[in-house]
Amino acid sequence: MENIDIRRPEIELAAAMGGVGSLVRFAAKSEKNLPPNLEAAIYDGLRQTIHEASLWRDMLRNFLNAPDEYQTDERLTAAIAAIDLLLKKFEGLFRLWKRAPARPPQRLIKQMETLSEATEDFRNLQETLALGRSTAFQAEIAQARREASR
Amino acid sequence: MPDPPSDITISYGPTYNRNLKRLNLREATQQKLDKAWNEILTAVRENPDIPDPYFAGDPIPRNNREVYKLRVADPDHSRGAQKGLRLIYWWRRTERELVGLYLYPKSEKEDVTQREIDSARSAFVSANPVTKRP
Repeated sequence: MENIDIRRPEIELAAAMGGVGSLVRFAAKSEKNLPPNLEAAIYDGLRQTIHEASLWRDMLRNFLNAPDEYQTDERLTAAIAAIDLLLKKFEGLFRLWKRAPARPPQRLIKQMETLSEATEDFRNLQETLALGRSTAFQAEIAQARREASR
Repeated sequence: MPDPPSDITISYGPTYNRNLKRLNLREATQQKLDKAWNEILTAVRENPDIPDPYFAGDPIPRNNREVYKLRVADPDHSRGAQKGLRLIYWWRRTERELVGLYLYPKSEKEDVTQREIDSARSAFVSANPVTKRP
């Protein structure tokens, strides 16, 4: 279980997003179409971000499938808070993206769509983690299980 | 309701049945729900230990990997999976039984999840204070 690193986003993913965020910010200032070298850099940055997001998503799912004793309050809290930070970064990136040139290349549009789907999945994972952390919800589940067992 | 494969049974707990009655789903949403149950069945059949989260949803922490949450679209209210229904079920691996525990619109538990997210954020920030640069 020691290989489940729920703090990962603060490292590789945040770094990748920070890098691509700067590039997109620069692109937002472009008046016409993106210069080819900037487009290529954004493409690589987004590819790296998508890759890191996918790795972290898998890690969070490993955490959800870990034994109960591993899912301590501290780890649940850290995972929920880390997703929160990540979602804010995603929102910032999407905001910047909207200010980018009117007709971004198709391959970048596709990457942003993939990233948007990943964001949605992170929200879903955060909701699941939050329900797991909620004593009230756990009590409701326990009650429903007892009723169903009768 | 879908026909389960012979080796896995599906049952619905009293809470689930109460939820279903109260929600009074129309045909389009009921069809989505039936489809979701069929996909859960397929997923747990293919991989009982770790079913595909895309079809089976994710285990809710601290339930011995037995209680899952799956998002279901709610076309009755023009809601996709994101804002639609939440299906909570119990996967009893040894008994090879799926039990519907809960069914609710996301909005019903939004305050619970938001409270936990806010509290986790505060707890995390308190435990990891930002060090200001000199």
